[in-house]
Amino acid sequence: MDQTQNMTVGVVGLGEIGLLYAELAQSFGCTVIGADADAYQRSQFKQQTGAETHEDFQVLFERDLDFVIVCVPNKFKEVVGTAALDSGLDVYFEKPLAHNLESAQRIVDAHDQDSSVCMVGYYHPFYDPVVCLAEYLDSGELGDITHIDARFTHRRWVPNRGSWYTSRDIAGGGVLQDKGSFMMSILHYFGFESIETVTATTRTEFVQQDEYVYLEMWGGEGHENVTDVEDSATAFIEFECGTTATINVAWAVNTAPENTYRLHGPEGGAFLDLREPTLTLYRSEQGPPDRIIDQQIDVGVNEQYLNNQFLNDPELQRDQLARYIEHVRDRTQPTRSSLTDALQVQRMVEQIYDAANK
Amino acid sequence: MSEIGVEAADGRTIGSVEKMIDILEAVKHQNGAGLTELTEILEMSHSSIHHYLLTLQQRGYIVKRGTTYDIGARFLALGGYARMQQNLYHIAKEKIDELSAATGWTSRLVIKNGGTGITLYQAVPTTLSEFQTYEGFEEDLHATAAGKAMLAELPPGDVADFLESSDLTEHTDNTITTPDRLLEEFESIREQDYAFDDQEHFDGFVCVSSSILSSDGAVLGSISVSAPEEEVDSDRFCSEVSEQIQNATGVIKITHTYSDWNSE
Repeated sequence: MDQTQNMTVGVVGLGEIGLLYAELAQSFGCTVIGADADAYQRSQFKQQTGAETHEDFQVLFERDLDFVIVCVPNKFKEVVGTAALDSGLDVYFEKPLAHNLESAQRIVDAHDQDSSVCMVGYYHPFYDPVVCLAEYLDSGELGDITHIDARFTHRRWVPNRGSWYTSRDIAGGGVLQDKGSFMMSILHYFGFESIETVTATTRTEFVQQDEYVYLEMWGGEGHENVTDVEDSATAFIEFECGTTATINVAWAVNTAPENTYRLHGPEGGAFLDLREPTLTLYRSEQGPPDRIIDQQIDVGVNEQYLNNQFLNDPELQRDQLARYIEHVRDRTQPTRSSLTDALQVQRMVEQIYDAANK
Repeated sequence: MSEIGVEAADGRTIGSVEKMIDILEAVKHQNGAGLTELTEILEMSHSSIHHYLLTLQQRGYIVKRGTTYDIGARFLALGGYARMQQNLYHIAKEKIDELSAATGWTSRLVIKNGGTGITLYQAVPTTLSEFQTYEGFEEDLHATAAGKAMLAELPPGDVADFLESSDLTEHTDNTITTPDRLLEEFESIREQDYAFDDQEHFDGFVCVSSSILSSDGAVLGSISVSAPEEEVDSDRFCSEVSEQIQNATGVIKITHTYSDWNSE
């Protein structure tokens, strides 16, 4: 990390996520400069990080920056992101790439591979248990996967309720956009990305309740009183390769919370639990004697992950940001969580929304 | 007039401009008026008023039908331009249309201009043939949901100034006309995040409204939805429509914060 010590990073969008990335960048020895149109966010940010801030991101882009981290509300990612790309800057986008597919497409169109190194904050493809399962899938030892059962459900985890996070206009959707995009990024990383058909439904059960009961709220209560998004969704997907998938995602639901992926193949299956985290393989071998094998795989997981209930731990963002900085230094485009990967994730999410709105 | 008027640099205003505005506002107030009628209302001579009207007529700001003078359409040229200059209009217009379509009732975007509210934009569903308000409609802030929603979010000093300068005109039996009751009303508005107008300005019409604030808490305007009292259940109207209004005002607030960025 020695060479990062002289790096200067521009952070645009100084909310919770902007603050998180700024602190991570500072922990790598980078100098951070922030920009946000919201004066309150700027003052909070300055107080927490000591970093200099600008009101106008264009003024920030005129500074001598090594790269930019864009974590503005989803709807404004395009205006900030394309301006950064047009200036030839390297850009790291917080996920999702945009609030809808068209906007995401315009960002990708503005990206010149020769001048800007870009990545999107889908961190699971850098996470050891996920990487490990992907390798088992690639090796073919499970056979062609026939079905995936993916569940990412929280008891009560509506983030920053009432802010742009729960605005259809600004965020582009609710839990499907927020957590569902993570799930799609994992499926995409596993090689399931072209949806043939999808049936889906979305629900708004908790987010609009005046007496929404919760123990903890990420980002605290929002101040804009906007709550017009779904807080849970269910989808049945058929991929072009023939594999099917059921998707259950919820910010709030009255059942046991889960963050799991069950993959069934003819030669074997896998169970990935990201809350623990654990990876289990299910196989059989012909004897004699015949045997059924349930095999727990211990992956090189850092202790810090183990107490991490919701996998919102900055460690995952830290690992990914460190990878990104290597790419910036080496002038190479990432092969995981690239802009085009994120565009495909955006397309998958939009296909589910379209199915739900039919 | 002087309540809103900005004084000239030397502390004085120009008398003839004041007179001209008095004449225009009297014409509007009377829904068009003859010379004799205006002479009775305004403390000005017959010939003086006539000269003003003639000048304004030549410039297209006054029209004459028979013996009646009325406001000319040229004011709409200025009004339309004034609206185009309002950032809020551009940000909120689509949301007003959506609200009207979603609720089936009239939805308005109102801004505070000095001591009164002005309708910057309104959407009336095609099922409603006519409505009392129009774009540019001016209203007493204390007598409407839109006005009360804005007053409730003003700094205490500004509220005190307003209560002192306004005569809190009674429009219906339900109009709140005492400062104490208004202050209580503002408190409950802040608590529930919306204002309700229970036929306080127009008999037979109820409104619900929420203010639009900037990220630093300044009042930008308000959005209200109005319905005939006999066609709605007030409690349900309040709870359901106020939620839809707040979804709109929240988005407008966020968009307003980043509007300089968006236009680049």
